[in-house]
Amino acid sequence: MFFCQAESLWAESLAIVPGTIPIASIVADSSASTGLAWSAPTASGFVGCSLYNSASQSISNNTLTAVTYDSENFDTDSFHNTSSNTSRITIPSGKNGKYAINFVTNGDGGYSGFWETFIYKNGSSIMGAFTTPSLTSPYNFGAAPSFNGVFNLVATDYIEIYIRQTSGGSKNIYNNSGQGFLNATYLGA
Amino acid sequence: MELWEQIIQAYPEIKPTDNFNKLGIWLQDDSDGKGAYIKEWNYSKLLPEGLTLGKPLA
Repeated sequence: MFFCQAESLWAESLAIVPGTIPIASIVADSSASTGLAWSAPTASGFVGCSLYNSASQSISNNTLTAVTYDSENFDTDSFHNTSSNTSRITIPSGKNGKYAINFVTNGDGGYSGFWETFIYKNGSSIMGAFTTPSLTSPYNFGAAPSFNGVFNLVATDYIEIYIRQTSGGSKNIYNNSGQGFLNATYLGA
Repeated sequence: MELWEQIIQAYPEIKPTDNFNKLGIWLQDDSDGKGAYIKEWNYSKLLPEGLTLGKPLA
């Protein structure tokens, strides 16, 4: 932010209290009848959403499964619905452009196998697979499948994350308690 | 019995920890309440009896 030290006479002529004035906050309001009115610029603001889940999600063996999210950290433009099609981020009208998509989750560990991640657009895979091995004994740490990318999307396009594991039985992913999220950030047209 | 278990029951040579995709078997669940289905079947043998290809309509 830039500042200037206003001269008191100049400031009085504009009915502004003398002092330090942030230049960026003053713009002419051409619609005012006097032509002397001033107004603050409209903030462009952040556009995007951040999703998580209120509980763990069970992933069946060898079955590519859509990751669901029933909760939101924020959602500026109704990208997501917490009760229907909860796996989807849908691009709203008027927001065509480039989007950064970020995904991470915490998956069960302790077996000889892997987690595999795909990103889907409108029901079809557009990128994958990103494979993360599960750590076995003595570590048994959970895996951290993740994905980051930038995509050109238009209104009604929807993005989903699909995940698969090969443990030989069901395993959980944890997008609750701050262990995972799916974010979409609008970067511009 | 889950879908992957039905496939192993039909073809015991497939192990639970095998990478099904590498065998040409693609199972998918869209998390829409309709459950898992066989999206692609390119295994060296026919679809097991009683199983169908594609997502169920209902």
